[in-house]
Amino acid sequence: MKLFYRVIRIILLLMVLFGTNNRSLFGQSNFRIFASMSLNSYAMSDLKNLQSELCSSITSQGIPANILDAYPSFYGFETGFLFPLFPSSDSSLLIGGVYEYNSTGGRIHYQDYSGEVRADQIVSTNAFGCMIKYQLSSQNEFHWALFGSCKYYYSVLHNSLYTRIGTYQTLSEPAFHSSSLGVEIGIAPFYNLWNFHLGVQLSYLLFFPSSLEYDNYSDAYLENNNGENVRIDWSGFRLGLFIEYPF
Amino acid sequence: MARMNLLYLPIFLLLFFADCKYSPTGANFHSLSIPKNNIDITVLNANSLNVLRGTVTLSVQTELGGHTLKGIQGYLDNNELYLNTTQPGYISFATNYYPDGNDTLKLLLYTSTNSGSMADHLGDEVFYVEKDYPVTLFNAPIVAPVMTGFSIVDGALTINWKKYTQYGFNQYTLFKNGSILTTITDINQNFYRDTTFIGDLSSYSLTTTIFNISFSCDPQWCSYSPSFVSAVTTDGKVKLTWNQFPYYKVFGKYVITGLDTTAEIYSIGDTTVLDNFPPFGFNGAQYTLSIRNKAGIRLADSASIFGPPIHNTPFTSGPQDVFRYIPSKNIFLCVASGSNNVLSTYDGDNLSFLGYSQFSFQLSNPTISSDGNSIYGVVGNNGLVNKINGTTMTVDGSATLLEIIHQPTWSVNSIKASNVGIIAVILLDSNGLMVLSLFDVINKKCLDMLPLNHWYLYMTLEISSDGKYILCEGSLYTYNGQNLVLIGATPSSTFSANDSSLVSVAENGFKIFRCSDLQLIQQISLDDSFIENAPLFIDRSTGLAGTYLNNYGFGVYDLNTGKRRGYQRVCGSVQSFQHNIVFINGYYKKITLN
Repeated sequence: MKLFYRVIRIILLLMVLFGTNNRSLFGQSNFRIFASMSLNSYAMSDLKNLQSELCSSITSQGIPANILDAYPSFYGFETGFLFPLFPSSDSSLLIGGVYEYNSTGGRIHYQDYSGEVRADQIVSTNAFGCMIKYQLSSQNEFHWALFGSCKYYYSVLHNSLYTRIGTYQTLSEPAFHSSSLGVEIGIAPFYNLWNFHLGVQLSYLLFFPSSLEYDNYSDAYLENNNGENVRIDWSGFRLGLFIEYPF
Repeated sequence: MARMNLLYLPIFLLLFFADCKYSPTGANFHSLSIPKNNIDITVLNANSLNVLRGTVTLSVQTELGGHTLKGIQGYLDNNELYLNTTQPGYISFATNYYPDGNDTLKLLLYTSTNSGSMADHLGDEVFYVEKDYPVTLFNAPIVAPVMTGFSIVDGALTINWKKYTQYGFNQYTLFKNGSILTTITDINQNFYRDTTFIGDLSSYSLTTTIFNISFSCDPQWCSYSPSFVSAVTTDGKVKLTWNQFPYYKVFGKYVITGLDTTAEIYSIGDTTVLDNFPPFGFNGAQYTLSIRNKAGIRLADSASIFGPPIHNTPFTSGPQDVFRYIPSKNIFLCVASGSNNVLSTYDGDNLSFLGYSQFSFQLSNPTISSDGNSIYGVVGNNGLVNKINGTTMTVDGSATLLEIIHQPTWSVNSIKASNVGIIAVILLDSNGLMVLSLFDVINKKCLDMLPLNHWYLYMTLEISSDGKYILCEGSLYTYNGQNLVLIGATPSSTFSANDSSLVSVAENGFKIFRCSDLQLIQQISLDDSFIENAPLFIDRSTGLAGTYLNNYGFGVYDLNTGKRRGYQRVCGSVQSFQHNIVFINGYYKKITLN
């Protein structure tokens, strides 16, 4: 149902943009803005292991808690702008800026009449960077494009550990953050429809994993049971839809 | 129009952006049954909670209902107790850290629920049950009861103690010999009169009960021993005096034994009695005093006293080996053997000393013939026996027995004389075995010897006046002209006055046997009670028999009629009874015959 609503929103967006049938909206040619939404997979191996350790520590007390979510693939959003570096009638090499947002997480849960334990981990990242895109010329309305980007990722891990025994409740919400870089490359076939480029893109993000620093204390990092730093890793394949509007 | 649409772009971008925020979903809910609380804890003996003192141990019963025990907590005055639960079924704790007074003991039993729930696993889900018990704490120091002794009040033993002066008094409990004598709830009563005390050794202890806690003192012992004051001779009678029994509440009677007849005196104030017929002898009689209560129960302890000796006249001042009354001469012949070598003569009626003769040789084992005509004795070690004339006091015959029988290594043990020159002799052979023999001293001849085949014993040996019968240690022998022949066994017998029969003491009487064949020719039953196996004395001058009776008595009997002819209380060992005179320990007394 949620996916359905997302598709509806994209269609509404396209309908709005269709009505702008004017290539020289800003008085410049080939300046483009775009937005995409993709289903992203995330490596998150350290965080998954940490989640398993946490779940084991709970089950070792006899509580049959389960991992319900373990950093599944989830939707990411990206937007940015491009402008031609060398204008040409057949092909163009575009460069621009890009922003993206990704999020995923995990959940450990158990509940019975006597109480509840719930451990939620939500990670998200905001990334900024530059993008370069090469668009192959074509005689028809169908085109191909290759793109690559390099972005700075600021990631946040938000933990929520909630327990309730009877009416007694405790909630602990330690948060961590991390900064790193990622390089993404991909391919994006698209179709000219009215004044838009409507297409799909398939890409892979190579993320450079980084340790998670505790928000409340600098130089304090999240560690697993072996004393090793837990690193966040957004690496993974991405498959999504994008829409681009050239001015 | 296009610009207007582009203005909506950021709005939709935000919508996209918002949709990309991950939110975890899902739940792992386990439907478990809610467990039921069915546990309980109970103090089994709730009475033990009435008063708690010091460290107390309570017996408790817990019902866990299949759940796992997590613990028991206790509270006194809402202060948690340190409970010792190491002993199954019991809890113990110290109460002396809490003020005395009424309080509430709260016990809480905790168990796990075993439901398998999260709270159960974490130990936060428990069952508990709470029980409250009213208690009284009492840790004030207690002074143990103190018994202050015994006294005699109003004729009864009175046990005294110090009054208890602290609070919490419940009762005194007085124990006698470990059993409860009485319980007293009046705190001010500090004595008790025991009207059951009759003087036996008894222990008394007092227990003071404070609330329901008892404190005891060490037992004290009390007893009464009767005691004589004196035993004094006055006019041939012995007056006994004793101390009055103080516990007249229980007095029944005094019982004095040792008298000719046991005396029973029922008046507690009468504390004297006369022994009108005290026993004759070197020692006085032994008297005992015992006390009985009204129920006739005898006091365990008794008093004893010896009366003064009733000597009468001493017979001789020196040792006398043998003395014999000679009826035909009405004299007593006495031989002192050994270094004295004296033959003394005394008047038969008043025992006055008539004279003496001294031998020129040392004499041992002297024996006097019943007619008084001959005195025999062993001289030296080779078995020489001299025969001394009872009138001239000269040696008128002798025989060296061991030479006669050619046994120089044997020895002479004892000899007895007849009136015919024949003596019965017990010899000891070279092996120490005894040999009964018969010798004719006049003709220096051994008539016969009969080995008895046993080792030396103290043996009785008698020979009849005619030398025909020999009585040796319960067996009667005769000499048939050639040999000594055993006729039969006759225990506890002696020759009658004419030596034709044997007299023995039977149960409650006498038996008389004919010597020739030991046939019973007469049995005399008497009412008197004899001392069993008492020696029997035959007065050859009168034919009367004398023997011991019970109760310090020496009875004299006519063997023909069975009547008791005389009686004398005696004290000591009767040496002889001849010519109606009883000799005891060197003293004599003539018995009056009826």
